[in-house]
Amino acid sequence: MRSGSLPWLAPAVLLAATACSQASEEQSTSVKPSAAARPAEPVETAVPFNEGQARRILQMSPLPPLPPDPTNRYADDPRAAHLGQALFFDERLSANGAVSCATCHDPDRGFSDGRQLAMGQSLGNRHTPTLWNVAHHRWLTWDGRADSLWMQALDPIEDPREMGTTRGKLARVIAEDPALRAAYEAAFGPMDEAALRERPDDARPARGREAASGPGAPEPVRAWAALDQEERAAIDAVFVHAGKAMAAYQRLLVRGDAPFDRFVEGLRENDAEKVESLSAGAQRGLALFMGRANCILCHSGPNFSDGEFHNNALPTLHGGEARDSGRFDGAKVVAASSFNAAGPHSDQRDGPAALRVRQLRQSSEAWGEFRTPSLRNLAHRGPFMHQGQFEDLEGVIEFYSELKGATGRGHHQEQVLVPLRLSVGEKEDLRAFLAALEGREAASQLLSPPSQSALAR
Amino acid sequence: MLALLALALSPSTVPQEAIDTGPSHLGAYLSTTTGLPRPVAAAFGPSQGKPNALFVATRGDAARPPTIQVFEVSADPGRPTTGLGEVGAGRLERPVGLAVSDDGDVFVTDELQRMLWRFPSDGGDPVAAAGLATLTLPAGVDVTGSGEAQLIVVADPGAGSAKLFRGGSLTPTVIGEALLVRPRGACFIDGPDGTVQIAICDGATHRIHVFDLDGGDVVSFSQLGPHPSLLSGPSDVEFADGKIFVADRENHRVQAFDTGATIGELAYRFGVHAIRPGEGEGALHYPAALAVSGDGLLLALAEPMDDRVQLFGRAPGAEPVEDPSRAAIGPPAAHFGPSISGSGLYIATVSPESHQIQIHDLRGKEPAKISDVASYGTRFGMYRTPCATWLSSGGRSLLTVDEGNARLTRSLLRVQPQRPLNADPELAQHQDGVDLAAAAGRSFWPGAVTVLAPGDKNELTFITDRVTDSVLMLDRNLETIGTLAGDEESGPIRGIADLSPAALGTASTILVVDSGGQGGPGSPGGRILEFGPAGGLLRTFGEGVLVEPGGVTSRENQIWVTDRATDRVERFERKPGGAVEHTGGFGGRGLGPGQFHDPRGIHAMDDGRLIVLDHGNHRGQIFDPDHLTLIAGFGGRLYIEPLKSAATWVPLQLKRDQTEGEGR
Amino acid sequence: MSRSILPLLALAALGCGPGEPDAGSTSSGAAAPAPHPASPEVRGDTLEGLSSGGAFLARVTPLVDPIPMNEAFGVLLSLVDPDSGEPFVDYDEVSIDARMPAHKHGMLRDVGLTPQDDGSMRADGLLLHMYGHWELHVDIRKGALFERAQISVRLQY
Repeated sequence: MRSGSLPWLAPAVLLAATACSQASEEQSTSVKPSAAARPAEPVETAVPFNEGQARRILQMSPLPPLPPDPTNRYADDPRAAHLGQALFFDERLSANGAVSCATCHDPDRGFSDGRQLAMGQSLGNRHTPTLWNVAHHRWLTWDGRADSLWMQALDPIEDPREMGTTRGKLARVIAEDPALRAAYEAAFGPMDEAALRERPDDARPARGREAASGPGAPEPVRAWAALDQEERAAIDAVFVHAGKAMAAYQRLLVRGDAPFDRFVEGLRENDAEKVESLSAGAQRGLALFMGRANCILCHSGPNFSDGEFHNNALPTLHGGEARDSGRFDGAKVVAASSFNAAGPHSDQRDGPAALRVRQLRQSSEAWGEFRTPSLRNLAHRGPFMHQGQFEDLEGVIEFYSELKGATGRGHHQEQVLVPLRLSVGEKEDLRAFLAALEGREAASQLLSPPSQSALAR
Repeated sequence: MLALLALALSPSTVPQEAIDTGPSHLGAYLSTTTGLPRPVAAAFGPSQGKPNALFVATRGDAARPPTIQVFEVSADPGRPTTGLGEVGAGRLERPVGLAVSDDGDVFVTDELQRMLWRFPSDGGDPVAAAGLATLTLPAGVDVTGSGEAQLIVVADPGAGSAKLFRGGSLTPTVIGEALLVRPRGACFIDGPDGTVQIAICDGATHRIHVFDLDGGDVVSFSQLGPHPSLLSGPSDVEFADGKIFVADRENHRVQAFDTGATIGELAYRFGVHAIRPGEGEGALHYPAALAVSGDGLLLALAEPMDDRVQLFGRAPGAEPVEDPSRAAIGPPAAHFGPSISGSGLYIATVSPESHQIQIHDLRGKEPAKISDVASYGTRFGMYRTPCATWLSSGGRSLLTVDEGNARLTRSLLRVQPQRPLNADPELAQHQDGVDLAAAAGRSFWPGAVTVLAPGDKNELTFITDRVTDSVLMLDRNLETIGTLAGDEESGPIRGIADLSPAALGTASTILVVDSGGQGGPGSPGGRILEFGPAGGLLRTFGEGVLVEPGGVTSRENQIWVTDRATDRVERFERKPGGAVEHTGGFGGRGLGPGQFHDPRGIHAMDDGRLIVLDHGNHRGQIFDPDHLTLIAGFGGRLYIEPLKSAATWVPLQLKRDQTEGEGR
Repeated sequence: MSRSILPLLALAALGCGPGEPDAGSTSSGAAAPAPHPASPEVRGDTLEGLSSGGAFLARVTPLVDPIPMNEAFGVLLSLVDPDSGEPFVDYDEVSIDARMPAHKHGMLRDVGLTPQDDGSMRADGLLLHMYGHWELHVDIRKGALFERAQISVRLQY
C-alpha cells in the first residue's frame, strides 16, 4: 500500500529526511511558491501564523472557478442543466418508479442520504458521497470508476442496486413526456427516430458476468442484442446526452464562501473584521490541520481534497479484513469503459482528460484505496467514510487520533499510520475548524425539480 | 482477455457476508503428517489398491536422503494416516515437482539432475522421461491421460517457459516463452468444449497463465498483492472441482479461482497465517505445494519449512481474518531472503517477499533498520524478488540482483556515519545496472553477487547463474569479461549457490558454493570451489563435510560455510601453501542461540563478527566467532525471544571505530 | 493551485502526444508520431542532472512555471553529452518517471515521450500529487546496460 497510502511518518523521520536532503550537494531546485498575494502589513489573528503557514493558508481558498469539462460540450449550457435537473429528481428513471438520483443524493441531507450504505432498488455496498462541489473532482465515486460527471451519471441508471432501469427505457421516458422531450430537444436537437422505433422499452447491454446473448441472458440484454447498430447508436446518444445534462446540472451545485474563506480574504486584504470569521479555536484547528495532524497532506487545495486515492486502514462494517478493492478495480473500469474521456462519446477525445485516463497507472497498491473526500460542507452529510463507518465527525477525528480498530494490511506491509494522540482541546479545535468550512446556503431553485415553466423555456 | 473484461464491467461489489460457504469448498483442517524432511511436492494417485494415496516428495536432510513417501490418508479423522512405502529411493538428488498418473506411474522432476523421471507403477526401473536436451531447470509437473493420449507438462523456470510432452514423446512443445518469467507450478485444466488447457503459476509476475495445448495464450489473471484474488509468490497450482487451486505461498494461504465463463474470479480462499514458531493445526506457514485427491475430498499442503504436510477436507476453512492478538505481535518481520552483506557499521539484508533490500545500522545495541531500498516493479530501480545483495565496506555502495528482472542494480547509499542513527527513506540512489539475460545472451537466473577490488579500476563484479551453474564476471563498467565454471577434472558445479572473495596471500580469490557436488544420488554432498585471480580453478574443498552448503564467507585465513541440510556453520582454515582444512563448526536445528534452521547467507564483517542469516527462523544471528558467543539477534520478534532468554546473550555496545577490537 | 490550470489547459488544447499506457518509454530511433510544433509556451527553469556514470546530462524543462502541485504538466527532455554539449543519442530506450522517496511511491501516471522537431522529447501528464521532495528519474537503456540521471524537485507551499 505504498502509492497513495497515508504516509504519516513519525515527525522525527520527516525532520531527518529533510535534514539529509539539505545536506547533500545534489542538484536541487526549490519550486517557487505560487505567487499568492500577501498582505503588506499582516493583520493580527487570534492565533499567530508565520509566513510559511500564511502561504499555505492562502492556497486553501477560495474555491477556484469551475474547471471546464471539454469532454462535455453541454457542460455549461443552461438548457442542458435544466433537463439534467429534471431528470435528477425524476423517479421514472428507475425500475420500481420510486427511486431517483435525489433519493440517495438528497439535497436536504447534504446530497447524501444519512445512511451508512446507500439504498436504491436494493442495498448498496458504499455510503452515498455528497454532490456539493462535485465538479471540482477529477475522478468520480469512491473508486474513481468515472473520469467525468457525465460518465458517472450513466452507470447508476442501469446498476440493479441503484436505479435498475435501462437506457432504452430512459429514451422512452424522455420521448413520451412532452416537457422532457421539449427540454431535451431544446438542448440537443431532435431525438433520432431510430431510438424510438417499435421495440421492448427495456434494452441495455450486458453488465458484469451477465451472458450477452442466448437463453441465459436477461430480457433487456436480449432486447439490446436484437436491435440493429443504428438503433443502438441512437439510444446511446440519448443516454449520453442525459448524462451530460445531469452533469451540467450538478456543476451548478457549488457551495463555497465559508467562514474560513472570509478569514482568508481577511488575510489577503488586511481586514481585521473578516479574519474574525474564524474563531480562535478554529484557527488553532487550522494550525493543527496543516501542521502536526497533517490532514492537509491528502485534504489539500481549496477543495480540501487531492482528488486521488488513499487507504486509511479503516475498520470494516462486517469486521475482519477489508474486501472492497476500491481504486484497484475502479481504475480498471474507467480505463476500459467506452464512456471515458478518450472514448467515442467524449467531446474532446485527445485533450488532457483523455490523456489522463490513458496514462492511468494500474497498480495492486491501489487495492483498498478510496477517493479523498472534500471537507467542505460536512454538516448533514454523515455518516462518514466509504462505508459510513463513523456516525459523526467526532468519530472520524477519534479514529485518526487513536487508530482503534484500524485494519492491518497483512503483516507484510508496514503500518504507516501513526496515531495522532490528540488532546480533548485539539479535537475540539479541529472540529471547530471543520465547521468553519460550511459554505453559504445555495440557491433553493437548484434543490428541487425545476418548475415546469423553467423546463419549458 | 475474458477475465479482464469481466473485471472491467463489474466494479467490485463483494457483499458483506462471507464470500462462499457452499458445499463445494475445501478448507476444513483435518490432520498433519509431521517429521517429513523438507516435503517439497505432493500428489494424489493410486497405490497398492488405494485410489487416493498421497505421494510426498521430500528433499531430505543430513540423515535421510531425498525420496518419495506414499501414505494412505482419509477424510475420516478417526482413521490414521499410514505409510505405504517409498518410491524413487536412491535415485533422486533434489526432487522439486511430483505428479501421479491414473495408472499409478510416478513422475518427478529433479532440479539437480535437471530431469523428469517416470517411476512405473509396477516398480520397474525408472525411465528418463525428459532430460538435458529439453529441460533447463524444471520445477512443477502434471500428467493427464495415458498411453498415446498422455500429456505431461513441466514448468521450467530456468527457461522461462513450460514444456508439454505428448504421448511419451521426448520432444516437447514449448509453452509461454514470451509471457512466463519464473513458472513454478503447472497443471492441466478442463477447457471449453471438452478441450484440455494448461494453467501455470508464475512466481516472478505473481500471475496465473492459461494456455491451450498449442501454446496459445488463453487468459491470465491476478497480480502481486496480499488482498483477496491477489497472489504473492504462487508456487503450485492444481485443478479440481472446476477450480484452479493456487498455493499462494507468501500470502500463507490457498486461493481457489473459477474456470469456465468466469475464469479468474476468486471463488474462495482459506488459510490463517501461522505466525508463531511451529504453529500449525490448519494455520499455514509457507504452503509450497498442494494436491487435491481425485474424488475431490482431500487437499494436501506441503510445507517444507515445517517438515509437514497438512490435510484439509470439505467444508469451509478458516478464512484469513484480522486477529487482534496478532496485531499485538508488532510490526512485520522482514522475511529475510538468502543473502546478507555488510561492512563495519551497516548491513544489507534481502526481503524477497517485499521486493526490497533493507539497510541496517549496527551502531546501537541491536541492528536498526534505517532504510528500505526500492519496491516491486520492472523498471530500472525496481526489483522483482531480489535474491542477493553486496554492500561495500563503507556502506556507500550497494549492489542488488533480482530474480524476476534478472538484473544487477548498482546504487549509492547516502550513509552518514558521523551523524546519529536515524531512518532515512531517501538513503538509496540508483545509479546504473545491467540486464543479465541480455548481457549473457540467454536465459539467466541470478543467485548471488560479490565484488573484488571495489572502487579500483580493476574492479570485478561476480554474479552466479543457476541456469548454467557458472559465474558471470563483469568489469567496472558492467561489461561482460568472462565466466567461472567447474572444469573437466573437478567436474561441473551442480546447484550453484553463494560466492565470496577470499584472501590467498596478497591476492584475492573467489569461493563458489556448489551445493550439489559430484557424489550423485548415492553419496550426496556439496563442496566449495576456489578460483584464482586469473579465473582458473585452484582447488575444491568441503567434500565429505558439507551436505547442502548454502552460503560462504571469508576473512583473513578463516572460511565459514552454512549448511542447509545439517543446520550448521562449518569453519575452514587456510594453511600455509594455500590448502584449506576443516577445523570444526557449530550449530544444529533449534531456536536457541547458536541454533539454526536452514541457515543460508553468512558474512564475516571487517571487525571479525560473523553474521548468519538464519533463514528458516526468520532472523539473523551475530556472533563473536572466537568465543562462539551470540552478540545480537535481529528479525522476527517471536524468533528473537528464544535468543534473549539464553544466558549467553551478550548485548555489546558497538564502538564507532571498528578497527579496534579484542584480538582482531 | 488554480492559477496554473488555465495556462495549462491552453497548452493542452494545442494537442497532446499519445500517452503510452504501459512502459512509459520510447525508442529514440523509432518512427515517431507527428511531433508537436514548437510553440511559444510557458517554460520554467531548466533542471539538469548528470547521469550516474557521467555518460549524459539530462535537461528537463517544465512547460509550466512553477511546477504545480497536483496538476498535470508537461516537460521537454533533452539528453546532451556533458563534455561536448552535443545531443546524446547513444541509447536504445529512454524513459522519464518521478518518485517520492519519503513516501515510497511514484507518480500515479505512466508518461510517454514524444520526439520533437528539435531533437528534444516531450512528456505530458506528469503529476506530482503531494508536497515534498520528488525525484525525477531519466533512465536510458543501451543494450544490456541501464544508466540513470536523477534530478531533485521540491514542491513547497
